[in-house]
Amino acid sequence: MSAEIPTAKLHEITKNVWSMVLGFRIQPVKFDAGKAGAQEFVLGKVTISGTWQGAVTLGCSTNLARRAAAAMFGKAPAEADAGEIRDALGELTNMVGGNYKTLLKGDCKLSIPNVTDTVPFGQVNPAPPEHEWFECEGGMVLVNVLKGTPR
Amino acid sequence: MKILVVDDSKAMRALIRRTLRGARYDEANISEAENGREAFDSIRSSPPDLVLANFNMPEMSGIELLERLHDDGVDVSFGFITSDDSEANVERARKAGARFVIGKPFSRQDLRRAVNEATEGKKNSP
Repeated sequence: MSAEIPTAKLHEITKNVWSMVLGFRIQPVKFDAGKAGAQEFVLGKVTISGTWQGAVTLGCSTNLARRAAAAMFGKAPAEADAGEIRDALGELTNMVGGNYKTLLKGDCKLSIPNVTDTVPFGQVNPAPPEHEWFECEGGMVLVNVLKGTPR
Repeated sequence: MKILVVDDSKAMRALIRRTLRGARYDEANISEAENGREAFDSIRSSPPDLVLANFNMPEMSGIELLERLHDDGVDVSFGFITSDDSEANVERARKAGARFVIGKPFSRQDLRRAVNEATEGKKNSP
């Protein structure tokens, strides 16, 4: 992770968003390629522009993304459709990115979230070891803050 | 009481709606809009007692909506629910006449307190 805000703060924001919005318990874990490698992910990204430039990425394994969407919409996981899953992940990304932005000094603007679904582990960008990793409800969550002009 | 929820996220609109129901606003008439432009048309045709809007949205943002309503002389109780509650945004919201700014994620208590204060005396009105 490349930023001025301590990693512990990013962990705190992530845990706060997941517990308050979804009621899910989330724990930081060490990156484990064996565990993550078999999964596909839903990835959300917001960019921050202004005196600080960069991007915040939030992702989670597809089954967990479905459960998260179901919790936000108040329905059973099997009833959440692809659009609702993208929408929910986008909003969670918006909250993590927005909370991160409020810690930055200077004048910055937060973008609208962009969500990509069913991303295989090998295509997660930035590369998986660069992310902070969490376990939640049997699924995996990843978070990354990348300083610099987003690609 | 009529409440208009304005957010580009359908998931967030659903969450706010459910939180309001759980916060004893179960008899409120809650409607939704997905951006400021849609909300502007809705407010002009049928003004609600309270608007709960996101700050950052495509088409027309929440703050642009409030500023446009102000310019047009439309007086409506207005609060923001946003993940981007930076000092600059809170100040701009207050200057434009917002009654409150709640950060996302929010608790049921946060929302209830803010809505109660902004709608004092309107809860039981038709």
